[in-house]
Amino acid sequence: MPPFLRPPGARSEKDMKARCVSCGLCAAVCNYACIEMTPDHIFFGGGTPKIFQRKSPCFLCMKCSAVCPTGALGNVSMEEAGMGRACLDRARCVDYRRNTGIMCWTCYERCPLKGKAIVLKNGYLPEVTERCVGCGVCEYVCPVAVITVTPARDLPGNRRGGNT
Amino acid sequence: MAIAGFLVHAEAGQSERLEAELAEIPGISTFGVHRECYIAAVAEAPGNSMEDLLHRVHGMDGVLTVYVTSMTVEDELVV
Amino acid sequence: MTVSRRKFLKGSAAALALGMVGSPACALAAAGQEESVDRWVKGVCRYCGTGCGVLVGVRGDRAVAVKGDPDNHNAGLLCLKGAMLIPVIYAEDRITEPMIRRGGKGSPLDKASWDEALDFAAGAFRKAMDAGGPDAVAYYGSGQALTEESYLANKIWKAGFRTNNVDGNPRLCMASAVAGYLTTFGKDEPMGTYNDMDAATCFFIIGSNTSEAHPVLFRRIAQRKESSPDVKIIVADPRRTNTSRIADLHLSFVAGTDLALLNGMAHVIIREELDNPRFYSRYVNFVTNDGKPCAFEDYKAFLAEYTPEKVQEITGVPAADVIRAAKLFAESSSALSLWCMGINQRTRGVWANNLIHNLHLLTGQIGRPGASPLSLTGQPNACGGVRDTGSLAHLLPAGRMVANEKHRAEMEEFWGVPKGTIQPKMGHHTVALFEAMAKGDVKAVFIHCTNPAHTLPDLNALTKGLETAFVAQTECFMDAETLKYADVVFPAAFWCETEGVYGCTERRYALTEQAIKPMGNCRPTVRILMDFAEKAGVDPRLFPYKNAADIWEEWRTLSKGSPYDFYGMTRARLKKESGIKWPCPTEDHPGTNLRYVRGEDPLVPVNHPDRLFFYGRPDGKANIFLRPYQPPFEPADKDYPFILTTGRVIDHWHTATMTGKVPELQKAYPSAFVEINPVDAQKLGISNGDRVVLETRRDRMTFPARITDTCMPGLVFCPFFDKNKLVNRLFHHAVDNASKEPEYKICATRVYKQA
Repeated sequence: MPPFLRPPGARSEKDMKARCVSCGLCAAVCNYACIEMTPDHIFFGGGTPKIFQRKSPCFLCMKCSAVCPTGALGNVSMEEAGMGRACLDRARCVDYRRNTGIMCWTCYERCPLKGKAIVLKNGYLPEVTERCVGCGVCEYVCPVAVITVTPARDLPGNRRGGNT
Repeated sequence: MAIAGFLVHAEAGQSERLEAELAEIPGISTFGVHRECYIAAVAEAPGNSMEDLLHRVHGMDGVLTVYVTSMTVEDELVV
Repeated sequence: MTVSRRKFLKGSAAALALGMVGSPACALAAAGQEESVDRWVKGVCRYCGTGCGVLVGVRGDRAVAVKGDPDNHNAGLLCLKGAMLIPVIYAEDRITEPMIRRGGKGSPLDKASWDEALDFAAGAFRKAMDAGGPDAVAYYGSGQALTEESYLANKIWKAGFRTNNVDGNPRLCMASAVAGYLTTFGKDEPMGTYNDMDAATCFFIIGSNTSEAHPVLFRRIAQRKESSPDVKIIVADPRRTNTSRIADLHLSFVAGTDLALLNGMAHVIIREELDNPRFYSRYVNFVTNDGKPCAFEDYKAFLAEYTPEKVQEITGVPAADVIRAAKLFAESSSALSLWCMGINQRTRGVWANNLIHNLHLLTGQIGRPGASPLSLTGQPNACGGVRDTGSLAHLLPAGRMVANEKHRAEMEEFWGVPKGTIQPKMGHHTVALFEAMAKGDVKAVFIHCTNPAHTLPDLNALTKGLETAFVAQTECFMDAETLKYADVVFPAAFWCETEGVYGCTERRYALTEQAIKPMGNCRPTVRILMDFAEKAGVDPRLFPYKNAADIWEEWRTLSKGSPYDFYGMTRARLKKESGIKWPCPTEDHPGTNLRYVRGEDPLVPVNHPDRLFFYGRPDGKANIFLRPYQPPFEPADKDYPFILTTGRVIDHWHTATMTGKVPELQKAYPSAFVEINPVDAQKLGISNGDRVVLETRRDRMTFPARITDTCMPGLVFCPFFDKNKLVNRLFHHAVDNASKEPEYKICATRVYKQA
């Protein structure tokens, strides 16, 4: 399966899968049609919501987390979406390479939490901060594929979404 | 017993070292470094400890993230 | 059975993992491929007024890569747009054959031969002139056209067709800056260069989102600050743009009130005794708003009402910040001002330009490295191509005016046409031109290298002219909005498919050499113009040129002895070097960094008694104008309580007919949106992604919302690149009465969630 994220407000994988009843409301209400209901294992049921960020990332409209009837997606704000954390490979990011001669900043420009989750150090070097919620837009737009989101479920110590 | 195929996305310059380290872990076989940063690997572990094993890989120094590309779980396996 | 089930499962797991090692389909992948290039051809980026030098890598007969020219001012650096020009050249919707709309407006465009298309257009022009005289035809050109193309068209229309209806899209972007320089200094064009950015200790950036509109220059500024943290940056902009995030001081004023801010800074400078009497008593005239001479004391009295407290009331900028900005500007060793469309695209754009110049003249922050008022040009060749060649309705080449009899006589003699050929009356400026087309006064227009059906203000009103007049157009891409109105389309050679000069912001003229052959049946525009003109009845002896280089030779010769003197820039020299800054009177002259400065500017006599000489003005002095604050044409009111402003985004150039062909750029910005402040969004019940209606007195359109604190409460912003969301339909077409430049930056709107 290609890399995927859970929608904003998703609880830990265990809790989310327990609560999710595959109703598909989150996917239906999504402004950007980025949520797909797909099975987690072959042969297993109606599926759970996933965002395949390289195909279509989440732009943090937060409608899904507001509409989930079972609380599999907790109702949270943009800043608490808790989908994961982006990671920028500074060795390959063109802005850090002093001698390629290309400037980019696309991740910074398109980040829905512009200037908060991704900042430009010294005005021109993109940097992910701890306020990143892992929506995946940066991964989607990066022209050299050097920034990727580690989903919340894979982050050490943080098995849960942003919802306490 | 679970068998999982996965890609380890390594930090620049760490791929070779990581591949060697991964190969040392019992249950993990590696299949080379690709595009300078992706290590293809397969893990084999009991179903209830696979998650921990993958988390351990994720926590290794120099690992950016782990993409699990497939997972198969069977109750019995002829060894 | 040699393969156990387990082995099989492991094997397929491994195979799947390996299969997932995908590769990004990436135009940038080609960017650094040096090994597969036969030769590198020098040129200038097709996009903005920064004018980065590029090297186009050619393999066989194809352009395969673009990289920055290390010898030009950008030192090898390019932004993403420039680096990804290759997919634009080979876009699938390149127009490669002439087309004619045989059945009139509304019928389909059919392919035609060159002769057919040229005859069709020429015939329409002749018919128009028979019916209405020379002023029934017009040329609407572009700051993206090559200098040779603009010079040629200007000559053909003014001396050939004998109409001064020659204008271009720089009217919509730089006209106010031109008039600002002209009225203050007597001559157009800045006196400094990009080198000043490396010497400035204070940057005053106003009405410019440099980080998105001139990214390579922004990086230069950001790196300057990084290497010299004591350098101060002031950014004045209603929006908290990325540019403002490196500022030491961000002045967020209510849109349209910046004239009060600028006068307020001057007030503080005088009050704190930071003005420079030694400088202005020698170099400055004080002039009232209606053009009468006055004295410093009058200026001081005029500024008395612009106290920091009063400025705070008008602009919303805290009084303490007004004071701080003024002190930073005046007390720094070298203050550099940079501005762009926020200042120019205004009904008081010329005054705003004058007020910026005032600050430099009041403090003597001028004519030294790092101290200069440097207007940033939007387009790659508004300066070199249109301003300098005089390709506007009131101008003639090298700073001459059609209204001046001596200037007309000089041009008639140089061009070898009878005395009295050139009309003394100014032609239609852009907005007036499209109005004249709607009225039927102008019956045929030749549009080159621009997309007015997308970029004119108040589109619903001004595109009427395109519906009635005969439109002959050069265009490279099928998705240009203006094509819907074209009667004839000429496929022009695109960018490095032909050769020519661009002149950028810092007075640098640089040559793009031809790298590849024109695609399909495309022809260089200079060829199209000459063939068309001849068929339309212009004496071909007016344009005895084989190619662009011949045209350059004539223009270079004309410039000799004028304030634009670039006689030293032979074609051969331009081929060898990566651009040269004029004045450059001789072949061994290196070009000029500091204009008007003795010892730096070759047009200042070496024994001139003063260090500076504003030779554009009869008495050699510059003017400080007493310009009052006046609000914009359509401020917010209780019926339309928000201010709407527009602008560019970093990854798209103008109407995106080029950048829209690059997948990475299109992906970053696929469509238009409206930026709304979170406080306003909450009051209106709007969340991120909701469909929002913007309704002005002209039209109504819907956009998805982007909630961000970039805009202050009361202000909303839309980018204008999206051809499916022609935001210019929402705007009025009020213009500055001196420059005739429209006020794209401010109109009043309602904002509400779509039901």
